[in-house]
Amino acid sequence: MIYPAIRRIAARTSLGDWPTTWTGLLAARSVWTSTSVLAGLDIVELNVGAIANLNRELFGTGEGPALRLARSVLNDVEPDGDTPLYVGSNHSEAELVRTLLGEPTPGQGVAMLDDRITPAQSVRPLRSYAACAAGLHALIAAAHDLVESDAPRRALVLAVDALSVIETMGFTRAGALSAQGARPFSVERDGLTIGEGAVLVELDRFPEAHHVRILGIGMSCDAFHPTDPDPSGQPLQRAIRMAMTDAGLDSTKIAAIVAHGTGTPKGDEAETAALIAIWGLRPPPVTSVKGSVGHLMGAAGLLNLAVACEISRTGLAPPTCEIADHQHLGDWVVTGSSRAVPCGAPVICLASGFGGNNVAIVVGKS
Amino acid sequence: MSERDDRIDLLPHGPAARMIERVRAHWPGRIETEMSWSRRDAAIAAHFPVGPTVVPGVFLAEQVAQSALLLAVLDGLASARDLFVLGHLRCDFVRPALAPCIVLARVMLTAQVRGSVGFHGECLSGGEIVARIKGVATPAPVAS
Repeated sequence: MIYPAIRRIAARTSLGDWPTTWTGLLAARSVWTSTSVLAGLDIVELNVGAIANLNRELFGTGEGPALRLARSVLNDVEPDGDTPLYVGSNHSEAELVRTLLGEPTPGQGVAMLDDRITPAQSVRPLRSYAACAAGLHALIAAAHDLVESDAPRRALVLAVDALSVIETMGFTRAGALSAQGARPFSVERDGLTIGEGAVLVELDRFPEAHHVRILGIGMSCDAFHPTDPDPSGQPLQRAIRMAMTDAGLDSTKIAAIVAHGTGTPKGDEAETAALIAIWGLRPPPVTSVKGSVGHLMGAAGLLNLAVACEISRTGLAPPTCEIADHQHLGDWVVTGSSRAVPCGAPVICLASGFGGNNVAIVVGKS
Repeated sequence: MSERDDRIDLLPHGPAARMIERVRAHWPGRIETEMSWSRRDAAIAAHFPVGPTVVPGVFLAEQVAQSALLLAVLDGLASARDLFVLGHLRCDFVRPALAPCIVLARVMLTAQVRGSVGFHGECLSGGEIVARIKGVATPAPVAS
């Protein structure tokens, strides 16, 4: 299947807009976002009503932070209004989807749609509860729609998540948050750091020669546990192999891996098992951005895709921050400074979410 | 709670992702399975924290789909290692199943075409039908 190309990228992360984020990642900068807003709150003891009150207190009753992030990144690309928008998010801001999509039209899709929203009958709703893979699920829906239909030529895919009390409470209760800041693949990793941000990519069915394009897509589900990954890594491995098969590539052709790399003990262990099963102890360079900007939740997958596109375009794989040591994968985790890879070569990006859903996407210049 | 049934170990799902606790009856082409739900189950407690303890419909659909897969394995139509994805699913939710309850799923295989398997089933709680579910499962895409 000939998939569309990535024509434009825009983003807002704790490092800044997309150009600033990319150069910050290459320079191994690490900026945690507004987690401090929630510091000191006894969030473990909050109940649902208290969360709602606290959200209003922190963020007001107007536009929520996720919607503000979404607007800022949409302003970067100035959409023409005819280009369909696909949205992926974990966030519980109902107005996010309602405001962005307004009266939905055929072709629009929403990954991780709020339960309270009932699309009009004429809409073909996409309800993909894809958690931290939501952004890539939205991208896959957009890519397939572009391939399977004559019009439109382009589509926008937006993934966004902002810090929220309920999210922070949930991960705190689950014991998943790092006390020191996320250290993906480190022996000393102790959890994830919640980030926030928005990523937007514009897909184009008729790319120009310099555009990086989607080469292959793979998806799988652990069907193992509601929140824990399958420790064998086999379902993730299956998604990766499926993406490479879809791209017509074998594993030796992959120039770099943008890992999900959350920094949680279980998550990194499962991902490492999957990578070793495919590449042995000599995988291509592996990097994770979550040591730099935290875990963007529903936007994390699309950020990984943006990073994979830049790696392929520029031939530079950014380092994973805050790692003095790394388990199993040895020197193949990029640390310290960026590592050179062949320009235009295929790069694979990964995302895994609660529910055990895994997505792998290969990008490159074909 | 229903007594656990070793036959559910034929499912490829991890223990926490299984929606079947016991096979109540099995005939060629038909199966009846049970799944018990309590108010304390995390999925129930968190789904409607301040409302009725409704068993989420997606769990009913999953029980029927897993029952269909188990039936296919028990009848020798699929191996326990085969992976399927749901290609189509139609659910009619008739009334809520309120925890605590035992959900009985009655499932039949309806058609097999080029490796795809059709199935339909109904879920009962307290002797009343709570959902009717039809689906088609297709072999998962090949990954070399």
